[in-house]
Amino acid sequence: MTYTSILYLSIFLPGVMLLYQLAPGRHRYKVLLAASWLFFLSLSGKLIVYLLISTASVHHIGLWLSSCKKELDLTGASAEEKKSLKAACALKRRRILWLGLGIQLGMLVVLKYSGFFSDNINHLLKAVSYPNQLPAMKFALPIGISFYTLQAVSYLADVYYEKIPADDHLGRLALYLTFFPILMEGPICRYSQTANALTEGKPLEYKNVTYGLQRILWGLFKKLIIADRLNLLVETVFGSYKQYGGIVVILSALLYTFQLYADFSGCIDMTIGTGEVFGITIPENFRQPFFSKSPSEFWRRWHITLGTWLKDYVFYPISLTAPIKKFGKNSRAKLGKHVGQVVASAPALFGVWICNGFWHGTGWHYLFFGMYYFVLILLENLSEPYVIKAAESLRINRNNVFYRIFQSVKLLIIVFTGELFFRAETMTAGLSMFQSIFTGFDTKALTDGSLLQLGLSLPDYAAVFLGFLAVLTVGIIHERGISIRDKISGYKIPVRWTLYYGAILLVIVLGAYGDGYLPAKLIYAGF
Amino acid sequence: MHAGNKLKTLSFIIGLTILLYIMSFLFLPANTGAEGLYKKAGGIYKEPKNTIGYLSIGDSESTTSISPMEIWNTYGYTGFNCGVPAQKLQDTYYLLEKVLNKQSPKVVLLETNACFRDFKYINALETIIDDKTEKIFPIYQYHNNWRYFHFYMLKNISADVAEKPSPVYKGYQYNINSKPYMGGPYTEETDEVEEIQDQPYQYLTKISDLCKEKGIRLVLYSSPSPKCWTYAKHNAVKQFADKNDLDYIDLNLPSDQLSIDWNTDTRDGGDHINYYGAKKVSAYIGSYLSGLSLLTDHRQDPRFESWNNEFKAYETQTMKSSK
Amino acid sequence: MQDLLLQPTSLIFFIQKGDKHMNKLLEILNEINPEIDYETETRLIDDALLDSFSILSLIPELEDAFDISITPADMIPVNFNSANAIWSMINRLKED
Repeated sequence: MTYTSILYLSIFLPGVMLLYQLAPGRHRYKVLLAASWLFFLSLSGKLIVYLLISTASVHHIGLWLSSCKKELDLTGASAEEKKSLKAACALKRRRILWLGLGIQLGMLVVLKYSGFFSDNINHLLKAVSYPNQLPAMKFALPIGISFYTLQAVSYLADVYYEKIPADDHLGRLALYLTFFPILMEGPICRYSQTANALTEGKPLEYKNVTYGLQRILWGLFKKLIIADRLNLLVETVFGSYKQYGGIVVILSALLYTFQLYADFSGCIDMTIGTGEVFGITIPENFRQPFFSKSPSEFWRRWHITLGTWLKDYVFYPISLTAPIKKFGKNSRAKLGKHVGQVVASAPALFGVWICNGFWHGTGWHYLFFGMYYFVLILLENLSEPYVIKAAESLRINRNNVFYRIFQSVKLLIIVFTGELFFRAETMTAGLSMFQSIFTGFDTKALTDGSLLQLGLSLPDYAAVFLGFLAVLTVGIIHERGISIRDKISGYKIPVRWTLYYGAILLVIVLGAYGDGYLPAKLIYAGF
Repeated sequence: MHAGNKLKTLSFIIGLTILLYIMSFLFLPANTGAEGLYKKAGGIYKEPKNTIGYLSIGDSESTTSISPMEIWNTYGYTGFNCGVPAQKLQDTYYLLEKVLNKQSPKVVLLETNACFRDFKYINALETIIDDKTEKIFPIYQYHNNWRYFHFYMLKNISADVAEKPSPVYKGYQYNINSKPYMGGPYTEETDEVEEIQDQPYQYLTKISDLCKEKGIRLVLYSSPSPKCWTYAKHNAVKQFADKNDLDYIDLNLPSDQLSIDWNTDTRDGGDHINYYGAKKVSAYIGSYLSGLSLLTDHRQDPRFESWNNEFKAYETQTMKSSK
Repeated sequence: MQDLLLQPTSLIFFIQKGDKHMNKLLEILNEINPEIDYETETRLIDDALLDSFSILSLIPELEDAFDISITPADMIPVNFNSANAIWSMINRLKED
């Protein structure tokens, strides 16, 4: 069962809504929890045991951390004793935290990455002619493990840092981890963002439900019309990459990026829309990313919740450790304030991008993807004051239209290249494809019909273009801060309903499903 | 909810339902031929006891690939195409079991696509729901016809509407629709193996055991299908075939004896072959069967006169639109 | 306590009292990003006026100037959204 299947849209979701509304307020969250676990079971069956271990351990560790602090009794102690008691407590809490993190991340790492490690060690062993090989370890992954593990870690860290109190309500914690709309592709929510709303048990409200359904419809539009259609071409080219080069590879990188955006943001729209139906606000994950002017801005607008998670749980924690602070002092002293500061931030930034790359998957090309942005963002930070100075002395106004277009084009090229490697099946494939752009470049490809040999017919391209215009328009409107749903609800019923019916029919008719199309999975659910 | 909101919601849903019905009429193709999935395969139960020499089973890749009349014409072997579109391997097994109550074929050809049709319980449910929806709102099934809409504008009012559904010959449904596969070569070798999942694997083994028990030669084969087949799947099937000592005929691999023309031989852009493709595949399979020396040529046998009659009808049909 | 700090009158009170230190804070902030009006801005983090790189440049300056130690537990928006918020965080950390 997936968010775009008829079973989910016409039976599961309405069923949950009905049961939710019928249940008394304080029991409503149980309906959501049961639905979420049912959803999980339908996708991963007995692997739910990992989820349950995560939930139970996070619950107990959280309570343990807070009880440690509570039991700290400083009454009647001298200043000296106070200091040592506090230090002992801090040490104990740190150990408990590491235990909790070990369990959560341990499960993720073993399930997801042990195959990668054993493969690579085996290659190494083969290279040095060592006779034995490690057994190939390939574990089935429970759905959403990459997402709920990060949420579990964020909860533990927040309790440790005393940003939130530990939760003794197991049901709330369980629902926070696996609320069914966020299970497959996130966003990665913080406990303080969703936990209380999930258990509030507010009754369904007309405005919430209609707005939520409209958002779900928009998500379906993007996923079914654009993403699943582009999948055909992308699978064809990336699956047999040696046969293609030049313009075809460029086109496929572009279209894959568009597919990825439509797939992921479309799914997120369905997720947030579903949350909205139940009166729960789920954080945004995208903010018109392709309007960015720089790589770091891009990553503030794309997969926002991953970026903030890495910032709060990797970037700052690394930067604020004693050795890194010391390193920072030294580099600022020796290299000057600006360069020194950039260099000081490099270890933490490196940590962030290693995590970002590997979180997406097991493969060297994912690591490359992470390092690619690490270097670009480091360079961006390093060069910023010099670029500003250069622009000033050359009298270039960095705010004028042409400069901004230049920045946009530069950013888009960076993003498309990154996605080429991201989607390539292996590092070798990525390099080969990148190279073939230049070696196989021939403008004839635009006119000799080869673009129609990639899995998309002319009507398909037309549908994609229509989708592109729609997404662009919506993006521009949103960038201006206007709420489209508010605007539409201001129109009279005939106009509104025409728009809604039109959109629904477009999704049903133009959706890339059924005869002749590959069944396309949700891309990010695979991470 | 206020009464006003309730009314709005209800009318919206009613309006949508009506709209979907109207759209369905626009999208229904000229000849629906909407017969039950099992109607074609069900013909085997009408065949006299123990007259079938070979069977082909599997999903729609099986249905569309073997035309027993072709093999009858060249070699006189009696065969039946028991493929059922979208059939899960579990159902294939039960079908085979049932057929073997009345027939004792010497060879069973199992098309391998269904091996990769995983059916955890939820998928079965999804398929049922999808089928029901397609029945209620045909637009869900035929929506892809939007691409041909400009043709419909011209043809819509004219004759063709009451065309008879294409007839079926020993389980094979004659179909000459043609939609080229444009994707180019698809048989690049790889070491990857697309594992057969637990449920299908279980039934694959059961089918293999059943055939062994009854002394039937089980042969695995993969119909030419750029859309469904991958080399990784080939590797998985090969592993199973080797392990169980079965022949595996992969018709996707380049071969001198079989050359599918992807411009004319597929009916849906590379998912299934049409009559022109099936003719070639049947010739190949027929030649393979002859090599096994297990089957008997019944062309002169008076007990099988009905087959010759059937073939005459088949010949007439296929001559009408030969290449 | 926090609300008190955000009132204009208490701002004046604090500027008079911890005048020298507050100015030092403003000086540091202005070096990081001179284009922001720190006297009135209360959404430095929420509106992404200070990005994580700027924050990272800010922290060692604060630690050096006020002899405090900032930990990840302090890295919450409410501590950095305005000059006053930063100021109260500094004071709190000084006490520990």
